[in-house]
Amino acid sequence: MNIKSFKLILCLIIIIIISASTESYNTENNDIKITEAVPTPADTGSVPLVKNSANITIEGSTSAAVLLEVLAEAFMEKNPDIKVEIMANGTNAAIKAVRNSSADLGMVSRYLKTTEKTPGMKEVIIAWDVLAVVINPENNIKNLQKNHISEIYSGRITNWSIIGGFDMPIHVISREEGSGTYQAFKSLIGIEKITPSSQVTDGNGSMIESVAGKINSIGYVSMGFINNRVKVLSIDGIYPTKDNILNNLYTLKRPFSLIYIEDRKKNEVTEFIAFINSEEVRSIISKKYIPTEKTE
Amino acid sequence: MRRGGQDRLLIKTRNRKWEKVIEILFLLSALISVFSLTAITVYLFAKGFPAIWEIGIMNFIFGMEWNPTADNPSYGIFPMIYASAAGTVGAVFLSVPVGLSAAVLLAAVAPPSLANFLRPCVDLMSGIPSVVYGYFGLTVIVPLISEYLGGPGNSLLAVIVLLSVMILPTIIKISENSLRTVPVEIIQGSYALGAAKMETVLKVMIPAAGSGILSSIVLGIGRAIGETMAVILVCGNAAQIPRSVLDMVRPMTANIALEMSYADPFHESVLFGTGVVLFMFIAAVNIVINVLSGNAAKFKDKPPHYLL
Repeated sequence: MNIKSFKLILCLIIIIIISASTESYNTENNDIKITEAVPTPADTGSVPLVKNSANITIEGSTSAAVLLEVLAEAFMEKNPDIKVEIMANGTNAAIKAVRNSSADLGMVSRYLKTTEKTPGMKEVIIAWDVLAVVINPENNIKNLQKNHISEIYSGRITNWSIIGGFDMPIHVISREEGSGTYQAFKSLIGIEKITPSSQVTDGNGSMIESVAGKINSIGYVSMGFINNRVKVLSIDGIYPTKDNILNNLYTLKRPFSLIYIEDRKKNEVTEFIAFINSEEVRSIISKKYIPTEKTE
Repeated sequence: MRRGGQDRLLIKTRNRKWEKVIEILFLLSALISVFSLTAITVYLFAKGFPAIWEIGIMNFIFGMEWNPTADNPSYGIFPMIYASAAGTVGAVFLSVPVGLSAAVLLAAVAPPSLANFLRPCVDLMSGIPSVVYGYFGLTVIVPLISEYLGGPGNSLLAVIVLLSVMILPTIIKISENSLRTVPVEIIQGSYALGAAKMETVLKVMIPAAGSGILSSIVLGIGRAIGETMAVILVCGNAAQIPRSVLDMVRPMTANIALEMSYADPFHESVLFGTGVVLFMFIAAVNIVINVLSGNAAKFKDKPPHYLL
């Protein structure tokens, strides 16, 4: 084998790779093919075959997935012929997946931006999640004003003594860019940018770990993850109790919603949403989250 | 292939076909690695470069602010480049003296019984998964730093200490091997001239094994700069330029791993762009050290000047 033929083979391989990679790049942007695979409403009604292979695929927020998994299990117990698949990959992915029909339902853990809504996209709020601001139990602070939280997170207040605590620097802990919790928190406390010198943890669980591990730290988590290793603060004197949340007194709350495209809605999806609005499910939800008002 | 020409004349024509088949098989196996390298490179650049282009190469590489999901987003990765570089350089500075000394011990000083005990230990060290190193760092190194040196503990220093431990086995193994391949004539010559044992090790063996030691450092750098899982756990992930080793940092690998799962398409493309920079970084390090070790190899063929 001489060098010339070796070079020839190498060139050939590179050309194949390049053409293959551009091809896959094209199909990614090509929605038409994928849409065809999804049965139109007319199909689902008339063809019984679709009913047998019934599946609901749900993608989206990792925070909401914790709740949806419980609900899906309860649903499948009642409807053994319907299989629900849940993938937790973030709120942004949910929007993308519902748009290109790779999922029937998307789990979203914040309000949708107007730019993210497409015509025909429906949003059903299934529960309220509460964001708790947490500190280390050894810290003496019990209450913070909302504007103090904003100032801590934008990096203007850097020592606990300024807001009546011990003389120690504030260790600000935040979440990774793009997580629903991060975006919800940022908009709820009304700041554009969280200080770059904040520690970034990659989940509610590791947030709790980090706050529990450092006496001077402050963090925020979804209420469902709270345990006694951290101390929950009241905000403007209001503690996140169920009553305060339902009366809109505690303001750090965000919706968990399901999104879908009305025209492509399968029968199973309609059943699933009806199931979620049932009284039985509301009692499951209320164990850790706040169910919506029954004014549908 | 060409050197064996003389012997090949003795092989019957019938067998040559098989020779050819096997040769091609070997070539194909070798091409698989070339193939994967090309595939990854093409994919990385195809995904990452459009975003870099849109942001502007200068804004991307020298930008100080990383804020990809804001309404007015900024995509500067300089703090992460700095963190990757500082972490790697720091780790190499800590690790090379220790690793080289350990290699000398294993290759030339330790009695066989001790060396036979230490060598498997080093092997075992390289087999520990990086997430375990990371967890160890998080639960042992981070609290220690926080307690004795102050700061949050999650810091550049924690990254440096952890990485230097992680690259130790690479440096020890390869340096030891290259010290062992130093021709025995050179060592005997050194003794014959009246040099003591340590003098021989420091002035003859280490210079003669220079290229091997350098390549152990390159591999160490490669591992340190590409390490992700362990680093994510101890670095604190703050996208800022650290003012001291006790400040939190976010290396490029951590940035990619942390944000990839939630990223929208453009953000994802920017993360691939971070990968492109990381890739170029590693390529540059490899080229520089290859040139250096080329020089060292030339030096190796000549007898050290003080022996003349």
